[in-house]
Amino acid sequence: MWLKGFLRRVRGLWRSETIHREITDELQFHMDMRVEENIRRGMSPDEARRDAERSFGNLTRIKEHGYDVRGGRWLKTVWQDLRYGARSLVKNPLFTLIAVLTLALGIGANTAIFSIVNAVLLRPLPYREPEKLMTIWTTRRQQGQGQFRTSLPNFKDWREQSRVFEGMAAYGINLYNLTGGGEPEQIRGAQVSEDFFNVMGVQAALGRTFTPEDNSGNFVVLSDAFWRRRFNSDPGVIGKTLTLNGTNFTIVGVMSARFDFPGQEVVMWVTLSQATSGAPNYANLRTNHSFCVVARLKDGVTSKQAQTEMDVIASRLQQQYPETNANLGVSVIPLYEQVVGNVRLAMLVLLGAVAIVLLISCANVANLLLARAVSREREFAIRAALGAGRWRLIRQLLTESLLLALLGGAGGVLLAVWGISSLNRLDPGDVPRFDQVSVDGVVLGFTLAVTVLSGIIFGIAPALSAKANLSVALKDSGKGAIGTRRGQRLRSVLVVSEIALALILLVSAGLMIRSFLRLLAVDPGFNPHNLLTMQIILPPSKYADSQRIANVYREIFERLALQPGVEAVGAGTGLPPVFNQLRSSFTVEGYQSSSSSERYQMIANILSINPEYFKTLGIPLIAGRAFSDQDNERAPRVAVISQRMVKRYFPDRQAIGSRLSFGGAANPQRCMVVGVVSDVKYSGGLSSAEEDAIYLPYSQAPTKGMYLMIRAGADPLSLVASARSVVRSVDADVPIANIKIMDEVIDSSVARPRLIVALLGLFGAIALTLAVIGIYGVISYAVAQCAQEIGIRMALGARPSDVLRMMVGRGARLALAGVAIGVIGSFAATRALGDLLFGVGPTDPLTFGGVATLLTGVAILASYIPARRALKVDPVTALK
Amino acid sequence: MTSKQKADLLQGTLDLLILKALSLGPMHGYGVGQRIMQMAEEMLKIEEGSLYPALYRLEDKEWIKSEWGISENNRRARFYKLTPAGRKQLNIEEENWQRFAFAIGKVLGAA
Repeated sequence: MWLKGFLRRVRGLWRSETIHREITDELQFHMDMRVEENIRRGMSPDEARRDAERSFGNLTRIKEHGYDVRGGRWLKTVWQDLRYGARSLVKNPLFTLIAVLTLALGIGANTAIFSIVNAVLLRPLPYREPEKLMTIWTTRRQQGQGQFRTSLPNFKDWREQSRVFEGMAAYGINLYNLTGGGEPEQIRGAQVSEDFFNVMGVQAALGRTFTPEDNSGNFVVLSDAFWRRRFNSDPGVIGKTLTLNGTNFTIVGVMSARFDFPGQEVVMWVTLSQATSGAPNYANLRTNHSFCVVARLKDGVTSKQAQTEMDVIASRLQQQYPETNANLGVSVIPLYEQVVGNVRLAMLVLLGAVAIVLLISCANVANLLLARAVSREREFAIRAALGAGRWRLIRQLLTESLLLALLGGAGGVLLAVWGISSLNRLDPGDVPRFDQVSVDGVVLGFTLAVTVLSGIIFGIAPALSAKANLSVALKDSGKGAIGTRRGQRLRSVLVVSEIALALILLVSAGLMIRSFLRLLAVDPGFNPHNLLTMQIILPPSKYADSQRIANVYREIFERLALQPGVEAVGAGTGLPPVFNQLRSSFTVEGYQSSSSSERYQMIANILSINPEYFKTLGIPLIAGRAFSDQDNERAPRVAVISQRMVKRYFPDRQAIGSRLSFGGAANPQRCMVVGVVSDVKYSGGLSSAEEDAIYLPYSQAPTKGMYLMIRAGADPLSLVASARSVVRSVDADVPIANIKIMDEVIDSSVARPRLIVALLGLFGAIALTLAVIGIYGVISYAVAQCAQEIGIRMALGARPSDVLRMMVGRGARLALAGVAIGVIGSFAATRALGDLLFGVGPTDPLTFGGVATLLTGVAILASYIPARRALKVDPVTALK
Repeated sequence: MTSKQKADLLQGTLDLLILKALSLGPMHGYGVGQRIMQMAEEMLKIEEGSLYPALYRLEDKEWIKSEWGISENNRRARFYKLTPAGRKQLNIEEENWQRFAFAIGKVLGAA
């Protein structure tokens, strides 16, 4: 009897031991005083003790009495209730098992989702006073268009002119080729201004962070993970050098594992000085918006005040630099918002979903308890007759409910721990801090609160309804007609609410599933199957001149194409549909923009590609020609544009042969359109809108980084080894990074919606199952209760089909009532899904209709099965 | 008179005596017994068997409250103390008792 042992231990935690001890101590003191007194009066010690004991009389009774008065009576009855409750749970193992499992599902789902919410939303960011950290973005004023990064000169002006911040730092993320001392490797690093770590409020775990003096030199701080991986956690690493892009950087510190801003993929932080080493002046262009800004508010300053001041500064810069800063605004957004803002809705939707699952669990258990209460009527009647007050009986029932809830809660925690370990294996996509999800004290506290609350929720109705039955029960032989009908109505209400809640959850899950399918069906504009992608970046120290860059690429492409299994080799500066390196404004010669706001919208993805790019990716050529090897640095500049550009800028004239330019006033580039291809999604994943694209031949627009796209005849992964050896044979110092199959790239671009859809679908399935169990229970109970009525009807000549129709009709009425309420509730609830939906409206009639039909059908089936049992009723037995 | 009725009568009286004894200041159980005995000039002896149940009962009624303290011979002892409610109760019971004793006296004197 593990339960008894468990409860005995629980009792030990209570105060009863203390009370007993205190009373014993008190009486012992008295006894000793009496003995001393007696001895003083001349008794022998023995005699003195005997006299003292005699004067106490029945010591045990005194103790018992004291114990009762001192609160023990209360403890004793609680203990009694607990023991009694435990016994009655053990006596009905099937009931207990079903109830505990149901609750474990509900509580487990809540625990698991809350642990995610806790890690993702609730835990403060791991920086000093994180609520004061703000991110600052450039915006385009006229369109109120989204935030983008800032140029270094603008950042410096902001920092100098603002008064509301304690500090302001800039950072940009770059790829670096790490060479020397082991395999060449491409790593991601953040280029940060010297006060970056101060603003974040973090210190190095080893060595130091940057100081203002570091600005002129090349210094680097390592992340904990990188330090462990590349340097084997060597504490002597401080002072050593790291060769990045051919330049030596001195290691000054290592951060703790907790610090991973601005992202986990960033393995080191380097000083800003390097910004100027690659392309001179580029970093200092006011048009080069490639830095993010983070700032710490002064004490007592709100983000709103900061925004006001930054607005003034932006206007001032606009007047001062009309060429570059016209229309540029500033947006101050708390870092916390920046990190979690776009997952909050999804998290809240999941929390809502598990809350519904828990409510349905509670309704189911309440139903079970109500059914059981009827069979226990006599038991309670007898206890009442023996002097148990109504409150005592209610307390007894509530104690049992709490006991059930606690068992369910314990099961739920186990389920949640298991669930979280499975969740951790899933790809969460861009959900921040997902790797930190765990069941900690906060989560357990939440679970305990939820457990107790649900114990009360599902226990209160059965406990309160227990009273009406008392007087009736003893008179009647146990069928308790009045009480039963009352209980039956309550149970019907519970089932109707279960169905309504399940419908809301299923409709939401259905909408999410439909959006997800829509998302998967989106044509990215190219053929992603059997495509191997990888990134190569040429070390800038070695490849400074564009001729050399073009040559080495050409050699790599040509040799790769000869490898067995390779059908075609494309290369470009973007990785559709998730990433493109460069976006730029452009102008079309002969096209007059209708308004200045349109002028600001003329932004296109600019890609350098090799001649085989379109063929390899399967992007159809619509007009003109693709590039060839003749489009080299000596030939006239040419471009291929996307179809939607033709529609918009060449509605009534020939696009081929026309000219366009891009790159802004600082670095204008002019070229002639020679071809048109269909549209491709380049950034933002499948759900994003198509954007204009301008393609340039790589030999006319060489860059040091490109994505290779290798079209394979069969399994693309089989080509990894040969691709590696080809690149190494061309130049052993060129690292390969981000080797991926394109199908996986697309797959992980929809990882977040998939995670949410999977979880909602799971919870929807649980809700459906529980609701079905609920309606099944109510109908089978009704059949059992109505046996007499059915017997009479059949004796009077009712046909079996009539009886069946009567019982199934009862279930159908409950189901329809639940569905009707649920549909109304869903109209309100699904609107909250908002942005999570893609290509499906929140009131999608197909989803609503489908789910309502499904739920009604399943509910009728669930009542049909027990209803058939009514046909087996033997009129003679029933009437006896 | 059954023993139960006798107990009730004694109980009321004993409660009064305890409250009175504690009105002189906090005291532990043993001291309460001693104090009553002294006040009655050794004419009354309180049995421990009735003293402690009475103390617990009075505490349950919140007329007295108890806490651990140090006795005059430096030992840990449970000290009882009159609560404001207890003081009020003492006044009521004292009055009742006076009236009762006065009435009894009248009856006995008349005979």
